[in-house]
Amino acid sequence: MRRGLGRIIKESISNLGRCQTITYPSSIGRTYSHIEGLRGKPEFDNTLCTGCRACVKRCSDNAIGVNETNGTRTLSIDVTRCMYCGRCAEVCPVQALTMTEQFELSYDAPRGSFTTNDVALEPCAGCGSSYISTRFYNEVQRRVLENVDASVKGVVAKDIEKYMRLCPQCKRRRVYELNTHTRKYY
Amino acid sequence: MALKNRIRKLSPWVYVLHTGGCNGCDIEIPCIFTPRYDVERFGIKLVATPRFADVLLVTGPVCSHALPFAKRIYSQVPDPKVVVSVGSCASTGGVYKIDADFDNYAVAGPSDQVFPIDVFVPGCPPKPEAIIQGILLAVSKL
Repeated sequence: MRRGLGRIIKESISNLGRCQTITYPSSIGRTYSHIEGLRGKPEFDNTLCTGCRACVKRCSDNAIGVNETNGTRTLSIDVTRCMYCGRCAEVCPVQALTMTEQFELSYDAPRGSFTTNDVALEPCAGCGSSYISTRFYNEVQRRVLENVDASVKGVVAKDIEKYMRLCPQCKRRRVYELNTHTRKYY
Repeated sequence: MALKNRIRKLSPWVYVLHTGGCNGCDIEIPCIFTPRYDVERFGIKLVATPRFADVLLVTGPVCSHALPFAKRIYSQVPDPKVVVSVGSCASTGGVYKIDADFDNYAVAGPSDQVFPIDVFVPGCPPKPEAIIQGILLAVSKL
């Protein structure tokens, strides 16, 4: 009897060292995660984002909205709607979107928690409506010229300068001028 | 009355209202009562009937089928009560209602169209820690 009691006390003292309960709310404020690579709140890097809207197309929850006003394209991720799948971060060509490890995202009503990013747009060379961001133009130019053959590099650079400054409507209006009418290929 | 409120804050009892959806959040909510997170040390207790509850945890987009039951359960929770919307579906409709104006005949809208919500917990599903944080935020509003 006494021997059994001693064993119980010994066992319970040794069990004190392996308490499984985590001290969660007391660690609010410091980054707390015991899972490596946890996908939390997505965040934009303002210095990298080109505003190409690849993430908008890829989002399966329609959580990323686009709003264009006064020559600025605003991408906003609805954190409440987001399902933290990480596909937007996966598809981003310049790695501007990253999934942070923030998971303490609760907030009081009313609903509305967003991470936003503003991208300045340049006006179209034809009609003057805001059309393309400088960073997107530079990125496309760099990628195309990287992969194209050295002999045609000059021509391609000239073509990019010619076509990419025009919005789709202006391009369509100037098909004869630019010699891009589909009849040409019949 | 002040004493009553103080006691209520010390032991908020929780009732889970499942209104359709994928059950992911309903799996995460019992997690916070397991030894690992053990919220019973804060007095938070899972109860079996809405009549005992102070905090109502809503999960899932409110399906048309679940709408009358959800309304009834909400009215059965005694005042003062706080409602926590757990997960993307309960808060916005999630994948069941991919736009605010998307018309899905089976979904009667996110839970804030059915009854007033006090705290939103984003996540799909939210981590158990996020749910604990949401409940503690709700308790501060009791």
